[in-house]
Amino acid sequence: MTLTVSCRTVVGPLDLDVSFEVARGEVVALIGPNGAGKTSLLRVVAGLRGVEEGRVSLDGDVLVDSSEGMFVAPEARPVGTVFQDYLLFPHLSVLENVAFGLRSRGIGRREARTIASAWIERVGLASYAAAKPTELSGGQSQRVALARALAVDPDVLLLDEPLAALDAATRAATRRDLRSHLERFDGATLLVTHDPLDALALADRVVVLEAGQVTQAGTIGEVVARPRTPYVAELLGVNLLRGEGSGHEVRLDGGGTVAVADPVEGPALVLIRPRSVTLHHDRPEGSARNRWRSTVDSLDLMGDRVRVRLSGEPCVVAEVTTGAVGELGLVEGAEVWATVKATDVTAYPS
Amino acid sequence: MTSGGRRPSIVLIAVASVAVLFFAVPLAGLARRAAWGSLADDLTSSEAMEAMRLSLVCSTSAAALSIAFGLPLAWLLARVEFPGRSLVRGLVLLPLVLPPVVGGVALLSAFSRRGLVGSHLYDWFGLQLTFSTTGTILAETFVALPFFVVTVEAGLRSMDRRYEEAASSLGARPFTVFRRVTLPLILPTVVAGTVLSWARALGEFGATITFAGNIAGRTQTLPLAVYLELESRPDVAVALSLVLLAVSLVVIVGLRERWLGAS
Repeated sequence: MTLTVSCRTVVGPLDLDVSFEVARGEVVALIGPNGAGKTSLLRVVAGLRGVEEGRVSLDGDVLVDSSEGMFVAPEARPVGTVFQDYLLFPHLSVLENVAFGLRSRGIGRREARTIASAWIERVGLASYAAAKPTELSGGQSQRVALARALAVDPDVLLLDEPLAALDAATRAATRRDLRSHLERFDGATLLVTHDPLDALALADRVVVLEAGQVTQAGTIGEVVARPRTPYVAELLGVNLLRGEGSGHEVRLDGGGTVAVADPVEGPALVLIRPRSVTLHHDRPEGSARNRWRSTVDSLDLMGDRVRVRLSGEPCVVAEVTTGAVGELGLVEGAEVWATVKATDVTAYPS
Repeated sequence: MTSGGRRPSIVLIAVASVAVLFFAVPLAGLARRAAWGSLADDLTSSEAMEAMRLSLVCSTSAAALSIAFGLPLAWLLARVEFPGRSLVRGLVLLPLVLPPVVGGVALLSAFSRRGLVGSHLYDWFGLQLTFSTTGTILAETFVALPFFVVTVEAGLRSMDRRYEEAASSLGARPFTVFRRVTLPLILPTVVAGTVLSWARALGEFGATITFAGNIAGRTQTLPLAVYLELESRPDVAVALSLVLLAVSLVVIVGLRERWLGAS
């Protein structure tokens, strides 16, 4: 089952012109600056706004097709949405909120409550079933909104900035929760975010939307290695590694360890900006705590910079000047030493 | 009072005080004029009881009709763009400023036995609205409905419509969205609109007496009884006025939160 979106529509000052696909079991992050048209696109898929020209389909089932004048109403689409401010119904309890979609789809009160209770338990809020949304924290509201959207067993899950309303401390834990729920969800997930960390931590692929146009699409690895626009390079062109933190060290899942300045415990995400990685011919001396041998995999020219993809432990991308490439004699297959200062490594609990 | 703040001028205070007294003195006069000793007897006289019963029936019916017809109308005005919408809104608001007696004359020309619609109602169904309790309810609804529509339309416009979108994205059809999300969220304004239209219907005089006449037990509501008794039995008129005053006070206190704010 694949969600296929292709649409052209005018959104305020913006000409939205976008095509992409999301496969079953896949999480695609729609990322871009504010006002790029991300949320509008999500609303098109949900059926909350029309399109002038375009087609949205789920395998053979057309949700919108301007050429045939087809439009399936939002309530008839197999789509679940987690809205930015969650929009939990303030007059209904947590249980009634989660049961709302089931009741609306004609499931009996008793059965709807049973299914809703199971979902509330699954997101760890069993003791809040009778609470009103105003009694919940931001993170709890997010989990209720997710349970409400998933309870109707949709084929497509839409998430609009699901973590943006949370404070930094709650974010990491909620992101981890969300990740485990998304892994279990077997439909297509489209995640709108402006935070690269959300995209990197949650998505399999990213679609970058700038001023209504897709400027780049691909797997996280591809986009990180070869960002095509300055925005993508700045936002997503980072090395994100997964590992297990223990004090000032993170043991990476892909091999190797990195030293970090701020201690972290347990599952962690490690972020290294390519421009923080320096390359050397011989084993370097100096204060950099992270030093490892690597092989140059590929070189990509980005303006007057070169992005060097290295394989080693860990595999990272380094960004150097064209001058440095000539001086070091960097070619594919060349052996180099890479270094990163511990203070340039950011580690997040994941 | 905070010290150091600029004091308002004496003239300002004096003029404002006159305005306040202008409202307060008639109330005091009413209280002083009341025959408190015979109040219970005056209110339990058969004419008074009959007028109160009729008023209660008619104003409650008018409020119910306002909900039944006003809710769909308010929803259309707030949510659907259709040609002539502002014209329709103006038409609905007209009874708010129209002199009630003119409303009564207009109702007569439409619903009397020889009226535009009334002639057919009489010929086909033998239905006569003038000089009937139904006519009283009709006249009261005419003046009360705008209060309900205006209040509820404002409530619909100010609510966060994204809740409705969330509901429809969860699979709720439009009527379910209205019943389970929209209506609960605007319930306070629906209650306020109902109370306002009920109070307006209760006090209705001009349109009622013009259209439905002044027949004890059938169309003689409280305000009509007050007017009639003022000549023959002023004590009863004052007693009934006190009843209407008390009801008005209860309405004001009940809606205080909404209208007078928390200050």
